[in-house]
Amino acid sequence: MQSLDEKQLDEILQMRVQPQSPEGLSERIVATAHQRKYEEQNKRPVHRVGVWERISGTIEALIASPKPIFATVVFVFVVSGLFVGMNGQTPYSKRSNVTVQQVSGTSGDSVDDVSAYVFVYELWDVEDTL
Amino acid sequence: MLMAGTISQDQYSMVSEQEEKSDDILLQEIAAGNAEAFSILVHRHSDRFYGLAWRLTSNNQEAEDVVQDAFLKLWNAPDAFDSSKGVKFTTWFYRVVSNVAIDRIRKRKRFWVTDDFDSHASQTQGTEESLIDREQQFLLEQAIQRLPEKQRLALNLCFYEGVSNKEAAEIMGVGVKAIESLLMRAKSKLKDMLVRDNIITVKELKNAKLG
Repeated sequence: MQSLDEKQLDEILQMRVQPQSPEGLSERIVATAHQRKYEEQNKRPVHRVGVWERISGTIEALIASPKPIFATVVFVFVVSGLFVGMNGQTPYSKRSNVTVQQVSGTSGDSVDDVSAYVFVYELWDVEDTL
Repeated sequence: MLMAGTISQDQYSMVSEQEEKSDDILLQEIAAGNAEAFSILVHRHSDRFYGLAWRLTSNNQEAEDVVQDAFLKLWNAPDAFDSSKGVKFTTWFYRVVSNVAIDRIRKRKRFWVTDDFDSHASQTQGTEESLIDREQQFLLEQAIQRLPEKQRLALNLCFYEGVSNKEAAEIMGVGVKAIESLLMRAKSKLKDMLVRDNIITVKELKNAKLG
């Protein structure tokens, strides 16, 4: 096994490649710094609109209209119309205030049983039509 | 025409005046938002810090990113440098660059000597001597990259960057004795690796050929 003295080692270490910085490195760094600063200066603050702000905004808009009462009535009709239109008719099984007795006239049946009755009744109805 | 000449002379004198400013003054101006001062500081020091970044990462693109990240950190928070502590800007910035580089190396979790090595390696092509040079340089680079993190940094700072042991101690946040110990261990480890990888044999062959 050969050994190296300090001087030999230093000579070998001197053989290491000398890195040369790429052309235009400084310019790229300066340009990036300027770009970041520009972006920060032009960044618009994001304002989140809350629920209460939306409600109060709507009320203010209705009051500010030339016919506030008429506008409010129209607004309520439109909103409730959209609500009903989007949700459709609520099925019996999902209506919380309708009891099983009210639907089937019998007691002791579960909501699933009632759904089954309705389905059978609908089948009879279809047969009658045919 | 005369007027244009006068203006350009004025501009020239202003630029040279700026360029003569010390790092500390430029940093004060950067803290006040002076982009020109930042540009001068970057042009003055980017090559030097690229050298350290490349020696730590062995990769062109990564070294460039390291230097850029370090300078952008300075641009975003120039107050991070406190000249009242009596530390030179270069000493402090060597620390910033080495920290950014080490973070990146840790993230990639493995070392490599990439094809970028060739772009810096011996430029004489075709001859047998140049091939030996390249092989030696490649093996040497591999050996240095295999050193533990602190030993590698100490070697790069003291041996390749020409930083004094005292300054290297400040950069690495350790005592001078610790730097001496790190350098000794780094060289001892390198000796073992170089002999094992037969770099010494190639070197001796080359010497014999030259002799």
